[in-house]
Amino acid sequence: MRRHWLKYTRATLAIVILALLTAAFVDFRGLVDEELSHALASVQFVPAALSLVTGASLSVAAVVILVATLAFGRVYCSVLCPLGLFQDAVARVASWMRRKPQLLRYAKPATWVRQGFLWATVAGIAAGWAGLTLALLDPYSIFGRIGSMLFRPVVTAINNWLVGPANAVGLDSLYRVPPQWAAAGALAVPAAMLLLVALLAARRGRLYCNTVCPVGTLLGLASGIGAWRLAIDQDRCRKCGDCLRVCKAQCIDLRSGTIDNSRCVACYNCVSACDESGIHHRFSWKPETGDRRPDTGNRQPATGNRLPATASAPLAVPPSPTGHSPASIPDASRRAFITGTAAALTAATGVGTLLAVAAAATPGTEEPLDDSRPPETPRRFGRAPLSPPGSGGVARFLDRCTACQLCVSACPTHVLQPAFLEYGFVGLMKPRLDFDHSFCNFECNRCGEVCPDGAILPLPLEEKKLVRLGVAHIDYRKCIVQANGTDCAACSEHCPTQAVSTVPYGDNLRLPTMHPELCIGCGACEYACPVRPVRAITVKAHAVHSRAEKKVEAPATAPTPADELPF
Amino acid sequence: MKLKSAKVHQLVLESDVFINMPVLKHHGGAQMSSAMKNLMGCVWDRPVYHRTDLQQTIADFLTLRKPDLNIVDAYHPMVRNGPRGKSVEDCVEMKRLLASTDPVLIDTACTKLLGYSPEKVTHVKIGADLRLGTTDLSAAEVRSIKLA
Repeated sequence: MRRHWLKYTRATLAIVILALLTAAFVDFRGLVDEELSHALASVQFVPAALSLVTGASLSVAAVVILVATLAFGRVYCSVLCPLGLFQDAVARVASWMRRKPQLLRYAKPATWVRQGFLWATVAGIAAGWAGLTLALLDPYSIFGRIGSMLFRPVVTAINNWLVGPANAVGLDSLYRVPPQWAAAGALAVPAAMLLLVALLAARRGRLYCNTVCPVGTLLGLASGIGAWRLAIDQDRCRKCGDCLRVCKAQCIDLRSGTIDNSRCVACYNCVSACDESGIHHRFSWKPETGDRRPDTGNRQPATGNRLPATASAPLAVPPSPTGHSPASIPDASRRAFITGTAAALTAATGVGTLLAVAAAATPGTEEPLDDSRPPETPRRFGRAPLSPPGSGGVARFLDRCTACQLCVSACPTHVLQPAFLEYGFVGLMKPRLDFDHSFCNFECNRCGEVCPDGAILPLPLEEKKLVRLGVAHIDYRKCIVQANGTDCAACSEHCPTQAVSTVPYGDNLRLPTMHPELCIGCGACEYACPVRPVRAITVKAHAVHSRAEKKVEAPATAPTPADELPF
Repeated sequence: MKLKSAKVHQLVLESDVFINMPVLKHHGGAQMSSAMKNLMGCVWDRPVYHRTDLQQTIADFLTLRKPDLNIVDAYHPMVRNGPRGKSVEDCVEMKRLLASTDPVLIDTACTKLLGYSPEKVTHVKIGADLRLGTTDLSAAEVRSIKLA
């Protein structure tokens, strides 16, 4: 086997990107720099496209990817997409366990399945369910959920198990962290996807990328008509089948001497495997027709994949001056039709998708935070969920969030947890603030800093400190001070804005009292309240976020003079 | 006595000498956080204090072990919005340091520093009732050292 720089560059980049993205999602100690996480996530296709189309940012990444695909094929799939890179890793491990490499052969494209998933995605977006459809089918988000909801708690548990031995030998930098397990209902989804993707990868290479993944199919429409496409050099091809065996996409058809570029994931295994340097990029705007060569009478007997050409007489078909065999030149008019259709489809899908997402974004959700609006009462019955600061409100959030869990992994207090049905079905696995076990740190805006598509906007810290997600409410029947006649005020202890503070009450007691205009709904009070099973102070979510008031006090003065002891 | 059992840090139980160094602050729930309240930090399940009568449990802990020496940092105490405070403006420079072997006495002195009457801070009175110390500042020997 030759070593080709294309393959090894691709593989090196892939390893680095997979390692960094995995680290970002399994980071249970906040060690990964949030700018790095954001950088890697915001250049992923779906988040970048969403960010651009919804106006969250001037992200060019999706456009760059599309153009690069039109130029060079589906390089995104082999270099950037973490789900793709993960499949490659799984296939490698599976081969190692099997003790033999994954040897695949050519397979026909599953055209109806691929198109079906792609059009179902477009239809879902057009129907106003962009938030759910993209969340379920975006490969980056699927990987994120597997990484954060499944791998992260396992890695944390391993860390905890290592703490004892590490500390014993003086490695004090390790310490125990509680593993974050999501609710079973939410966990089922990434668990199922992990099973599906891993099984397919172990047995059929990148089959997922060419059947289910709508990004793969969309990019495949572009790569199928792309400029520099991998093609077999008929003059050099000995039909040994080395390329076939390493092709993860099962898209090399040796019989017709063609590579189906709409399925090729640009891994360059074939380029590297060919001893004759028989596969290379060829500049061409013609789509591959995937024709089988008509029977010239020289077809070798089908003995598995290996068609021995060297052992017998040279192929009887003479090479033509142009380098093509006569029978594989496609018919000009048919070629034009196919090119035209493919181009139209790509354009339509691309433009259609963008328009649909833009249209489906809930109107009026890009309004700036309004100082004058009074705190809204929640519209939902029961414990409505709170969406993260920077999301603008629940509806805006559900439209944009793809539930990738990057913010969940990045949140230092772990207050962000993937929802089960709290947002309704469309909100499955999207993060909400869970005050049962944590609160939103006043001095933190990390979720907005990492979010790749602007579902959570990156607010400057001083602005974030005024964003009201909801308002706390005290149930005095449960409050210890009123119910038991003893002091407590744990809520007020932790309130960063003193929206809940204490006033004199009863026999030298202090009673917590709300100033709702100051409350930002951070949940520190609810988290601190010792009353069980239901806390005496709880945060009521607001459907649309607003701006809290800030009480500016003059600096405090000394209660007794400095030069005189009061006793 | 309302604090019947608690998980307490090993060092508090095992050390030969126990020195308590709190920072003085206003406290929204207990009124003041000084020497007696500081020991709450040695206990694992602190919500139990809040649930069970905060003022009483603060005093109760000292029946397990009284610090051998209390040194209160009142250099820059928080005088309002405590114990978290909203900003550094809640703190005032008073440049004081207090030391005493009597936690009840030192807390009584701190209430006066903050401009309160000692009866206002319930756990101090309970501490005196439990004979953990005295609130009688007038009978105490107070030595004052002024540095520059």
